[in-house]
Amino acid sequence: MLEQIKQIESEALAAIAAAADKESLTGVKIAYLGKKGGLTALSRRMGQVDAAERPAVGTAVNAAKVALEQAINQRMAAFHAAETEAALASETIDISLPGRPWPAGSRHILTQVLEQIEDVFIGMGYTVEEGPQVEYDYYNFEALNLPADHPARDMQDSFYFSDKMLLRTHTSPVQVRTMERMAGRLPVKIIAPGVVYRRDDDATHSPMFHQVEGLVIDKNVTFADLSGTLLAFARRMFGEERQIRLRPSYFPFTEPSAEVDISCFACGGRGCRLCKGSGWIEILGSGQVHPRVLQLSGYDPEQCSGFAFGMGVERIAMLKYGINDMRLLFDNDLRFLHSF
Amino acid sequence: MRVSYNWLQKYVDLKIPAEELARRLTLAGLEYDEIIPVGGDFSGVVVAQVLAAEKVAKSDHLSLCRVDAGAVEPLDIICGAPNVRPGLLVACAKVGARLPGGLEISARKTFGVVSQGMLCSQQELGISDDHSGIWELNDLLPAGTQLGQDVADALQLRDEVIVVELTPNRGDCLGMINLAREAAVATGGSICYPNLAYEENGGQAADLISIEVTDAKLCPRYAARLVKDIKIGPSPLWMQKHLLAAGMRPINNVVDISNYVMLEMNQPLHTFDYAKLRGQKIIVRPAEPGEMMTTLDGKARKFLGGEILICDGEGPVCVGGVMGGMESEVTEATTEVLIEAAAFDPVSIRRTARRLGIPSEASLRFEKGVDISNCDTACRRAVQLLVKYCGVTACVGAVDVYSEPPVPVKVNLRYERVNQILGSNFEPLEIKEVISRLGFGQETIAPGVLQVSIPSYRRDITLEVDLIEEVARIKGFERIPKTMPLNATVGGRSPQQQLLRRFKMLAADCGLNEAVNYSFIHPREADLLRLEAGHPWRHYLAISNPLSEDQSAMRQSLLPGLLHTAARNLARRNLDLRFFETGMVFLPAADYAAQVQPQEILTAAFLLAGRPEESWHGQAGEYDYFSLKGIVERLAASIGAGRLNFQACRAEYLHPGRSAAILLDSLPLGVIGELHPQVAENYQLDGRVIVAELALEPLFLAALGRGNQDHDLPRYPASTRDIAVIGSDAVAECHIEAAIRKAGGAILRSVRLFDLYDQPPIPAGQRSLAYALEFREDSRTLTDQEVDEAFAAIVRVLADKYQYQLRQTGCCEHPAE
Repeated sequence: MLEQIKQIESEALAAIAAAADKESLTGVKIAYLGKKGGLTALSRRMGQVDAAERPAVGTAVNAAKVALEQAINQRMAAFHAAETEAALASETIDISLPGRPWPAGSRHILTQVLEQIEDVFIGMGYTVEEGPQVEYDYYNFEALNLPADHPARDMQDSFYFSDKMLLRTHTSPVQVRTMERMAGRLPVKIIAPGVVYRRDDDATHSPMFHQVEGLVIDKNVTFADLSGTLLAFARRMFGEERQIRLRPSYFPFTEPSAEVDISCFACGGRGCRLCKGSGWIEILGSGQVHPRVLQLSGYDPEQCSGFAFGMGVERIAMLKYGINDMRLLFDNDLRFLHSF
Repeated sequence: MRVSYNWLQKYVDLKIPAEELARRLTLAGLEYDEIIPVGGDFSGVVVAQVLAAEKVAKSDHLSLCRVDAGAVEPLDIICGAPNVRPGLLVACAKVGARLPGGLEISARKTFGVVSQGMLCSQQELGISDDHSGIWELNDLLPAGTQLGQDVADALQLRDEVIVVELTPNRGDCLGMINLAREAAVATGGSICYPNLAYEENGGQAADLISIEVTDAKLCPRYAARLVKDIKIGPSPLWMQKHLLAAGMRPINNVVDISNYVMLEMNQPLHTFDYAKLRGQKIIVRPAEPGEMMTTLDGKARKFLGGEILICDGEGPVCVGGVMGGMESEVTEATTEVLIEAAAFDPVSIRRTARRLGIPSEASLRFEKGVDISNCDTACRRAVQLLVKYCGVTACVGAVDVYSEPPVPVKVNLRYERVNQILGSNFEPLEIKEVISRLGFGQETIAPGVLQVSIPSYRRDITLEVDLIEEVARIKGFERIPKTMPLNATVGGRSPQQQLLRRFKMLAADCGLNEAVNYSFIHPREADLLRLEAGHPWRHYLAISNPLSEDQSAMRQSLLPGLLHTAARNLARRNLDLRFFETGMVFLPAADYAAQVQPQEILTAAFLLAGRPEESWHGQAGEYDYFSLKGIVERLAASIGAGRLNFQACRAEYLHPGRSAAILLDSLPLGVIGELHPQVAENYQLDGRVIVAELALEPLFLAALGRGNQDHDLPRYPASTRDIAVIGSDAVAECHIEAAIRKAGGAILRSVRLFDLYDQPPIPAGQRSLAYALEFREDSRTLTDQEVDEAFAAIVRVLADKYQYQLRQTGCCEHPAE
């Protein structure tokens, strides 16, 4: 009997190994382990076995059953894995094809540069103030120490609506409006970004452009503080190794006034085409707020002092991103807009 | 201002090259633009002497000359000049010489003779326009000049011009002497003033001319001097060189000297032919309205009244400070000259020069204000030069109407204040030293206070801060430390500014590209948009002095800018157009007279046109109304402003069946729609163009006003039901949805249209709408009965209000699905 068990087991194992697919394996399973299968038939003949031998035979039959079931399961799993693999293989794609396009938009480079400038000053504790673009002569000129017929008005040829109203030529009117609103309170610490207009149109001038101006008024705000602030700005904007150079200049609303150059970031200050060989690039105008400007807006120049600065966003953008023609900034060609 | 290095050298021993001087002037506030080499733009031209000159037989004007140019052998040169003669010292361009303009001299055979060079006229060497004969050098060459020496070297023709960009406050530096003072401070040198001494041998000037000024405000000073026995001729070469370097053309001795003194002393002069002054008098008075005179450019000028006129006994002879008159002009025949040096009201000069459109070097200087105490000095300088270089006879004294010499300006300077403003640590001694280097008078009037006397030529200094700036710029800005303000403040953007920034980012994330267009447009845009006659956009804020008509009207809509942007891109074959722009539009006040500020409305506009790029994934559909509506809805939702409503509307520039007003609750924000095909054609746009425009501020205010919302996840499950209804397609979908929401009550949390079907078997004129509904209660699980009741209420309302019937499932399924 034990002999028979052994023989059936080895026959069955051979059949399992020989099964070519899931179906024939199922056939093998039925042939040996099914109700009429070989092993099942053997266990039915248990009654004919000697009582003394019965436990041993029983154990042997069970062991054979377990062995066969295990072998069948293993084989079945193998068939299954192969099938899955074949199915996945049939789904292979060309992973090198381009991805599905997702429409790319963009923010204008002027918006981006404006935001960079704002963020530098916000980091230094400035709030952002705005004001009207169509301004009264008083706010654009007079309150800034530029009375009618002042020769310096020529520096800023303006678009007029009437003798009283014009397109602002700088965002300085926002400074005046802010000082009026603050009514003598300290400190004033603002930047005023915005659109401004001058009657100029060529490769380096646009009749409409953007400015960011800054104003700080408090007790004991010095020209040295202006220098330090602008050095910090220049480094954040153009790289930590930048130097700045202040040159005496003239603006009616500041005294002393200074033009501010940064060391050329293209050549590091040795002199190149960008800086026209001088090693320096002019980026903004600045100065200590003129005492008359303080007085006109209700601040006592003996009690407080301040500085102001103003820069052209287009110029900064052109320098920083290598844009050679200002007109591109208002042309809105998608190829240009997408390049930032 | 063109500053001749050689000329400047006359007043200051510069000791440093032009480039270094320019750099130092820049750091002292006189910024230079460029350095231009001038004069002697030639090579191979040498000093030579004509040994012999014989007429060439077959020619009527040519001479064959033997010329000693310093070489062993004399040269044979053919010359056509009438003034060539033996003994003449000339500029000889030898074979191989290069003349201004690039002409190269070669040996040429003429009338059987090989000419070995060329004898040059002033014009050929770029000295002047004189081409009447060859340039005679006998009186010009300094002693010790050798034949064969380079002409440019021998005559010091080469110079460098530093072009200085003067700031408006430093009009004084339009005079070489004042600029020399700056150069002296910058180089540590001292200044040498011209010698004004000369003999006066004519009669008393006061006997020959009387001067009357009727309005001292218009003309606070009028000084004049007279000279006789003038012979009009060329001015000395050195003066011509200086004038040329300064950018002025030499004319004749009288004109040149007058210009030279203006450039030297920053005092414009005017010269009159004394013989032509009727009545031996000068009257300075404001013009009468309608009065006329002919200026020396030959134009008849009519005055508005109030312009400064210089008149003789009978009428106007000169527009004071602006332009002389034809009648009293100095000519070849002039022998007696009256020289005027005056101070005029800068504002009056500025207006007159502008109105007559004749700005000049003189009016520019008067506009900036001349040094009133310097008028007669300049007059004397002119007479001295005329005496020295033209041999004139000077009359005795001046006639000088100078009613009120200005009080000398004194400004107090506190040492402590200097450092307080600058943040510097300058010692009192250092400050005093700067003041004296500037040549200003000073006196200590109290401990720590210096009283500084400001010279009359520095009209820009009136306040203590002006002096503080002088200290800073002369010490050097680099000597001031760099510190940071000590005040600690909290910076940042306002909530609205933050929202705008977010809005732009979201728009870009939606695939839109931000455009920036000018705020001014062509008034014709209203026609291109088909706006009717009374449309409010036709009432715009007009710029009175625009650069061109297409930049003359302040925009009331961002759409024209975006439409042009789209057209420009299409023309350049950029075909997938997705744009947005934010900016101000300008609505003039109702009682508009350009006196009251317009409303500036922060607005956003959008444009979709063209087609998405093809890709291997298959063609995406053309942009349509719903593409843009989806973007606008998403933007409003993303910034937290909530749901927008859309109502069919009419706008002249939009497709009448595909346009809608955008509303926030019931507040109209703007419009969205397909562009009217005629408008698209007007802007040269093909295909469908979808645009939208809306005011941002109400949207931002709504977002800011919404406050905090509950962010907990729902605790109890929702029940979902689908509902499909069928009815007339004339009912706007939004009404059906609104009715569902209302009828569903508080437990209906979400309504989503997931199907729209209007093909057979749906009868024509009807459509089927299918919605997914979600019911939920926060505090408990809803019972089936509650949901059924709500559902039934929805069905009832739709049937009653819109005759929309519940669709029986199974009876009319979409054939395709």
